[in-house]
Amino acid sequence: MRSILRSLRVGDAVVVVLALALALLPLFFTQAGERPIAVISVDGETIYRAPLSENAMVQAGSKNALMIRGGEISMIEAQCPDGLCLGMHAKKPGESVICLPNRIAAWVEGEGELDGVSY
Amino acid sequence: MASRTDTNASKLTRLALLTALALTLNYLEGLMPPLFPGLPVKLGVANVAVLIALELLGYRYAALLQLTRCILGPLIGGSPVGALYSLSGGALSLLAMCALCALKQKRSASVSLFGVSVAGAYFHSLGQLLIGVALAGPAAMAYYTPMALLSVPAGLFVGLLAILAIRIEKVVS
Repeated sequence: MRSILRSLRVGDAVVVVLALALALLPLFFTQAGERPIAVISVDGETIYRAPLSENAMVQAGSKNALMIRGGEISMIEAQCPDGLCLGMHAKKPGESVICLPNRIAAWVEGEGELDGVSY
Repeated sequence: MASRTDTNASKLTRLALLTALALTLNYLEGLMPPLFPGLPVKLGVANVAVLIALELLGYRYAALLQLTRCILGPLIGGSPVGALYSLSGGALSLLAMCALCALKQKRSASVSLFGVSVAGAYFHSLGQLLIGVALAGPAAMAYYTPMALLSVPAGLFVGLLAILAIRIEKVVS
């Protein structure tokens, strides 16, 4: 057994340390950025989920289109009786844009100042 | 064991034996209950055969062995889709192990089979995870850190087994 331990080389330690370091690497990145996330759902099903900082145009169902731009979600197209959602914006965690007739909801997730929100 | 005047036939025979060993170990390991429930990890003892092939037969034979085991292993285990995972993991891990073995042969004091085995284990996990991300989406990356961490003790253990096996073979023959 001792002779086997003697076959250990410097390179082995290097490999082990490298593997451990590479294993822990992602932890540093994920902890650094608790960035807000934009979520869009249709009929309760999530169809879009990405960092709020990413600009995107999302078609939600057949009647609505949302735009995520400059850290803000807004509804840019909606075929519904009232068109209320067209004036809504969601910027901070907890805020939402909702089109009730077409059952579409978009909101911002992330570390906000609010512990919880009830509607 | 084998003198320097190895014929191809004797190498081929030993390759066949090692392949059988790898597949058997692979199958037996598949029968064991999971080491960590909820985490798709195995010890990877079949890699003992690949390490032995690398050490005693050379890269080309080790590559052949790896290819055979990555295709046949999942088929025997009953999950053809698993071949995608094992081929990806097997290819990456083989590349890493060959690279370290080249270093080992150039400067024998620099690294041992322990290091080769740990590198193999790490890259095997990584290769499988890449397929996981491709098939199941980025959520699969959640497995990365625990899998990569566990590849260190698993690799050390498998390396120890390989070194023991090679010593025993040298004593016996």
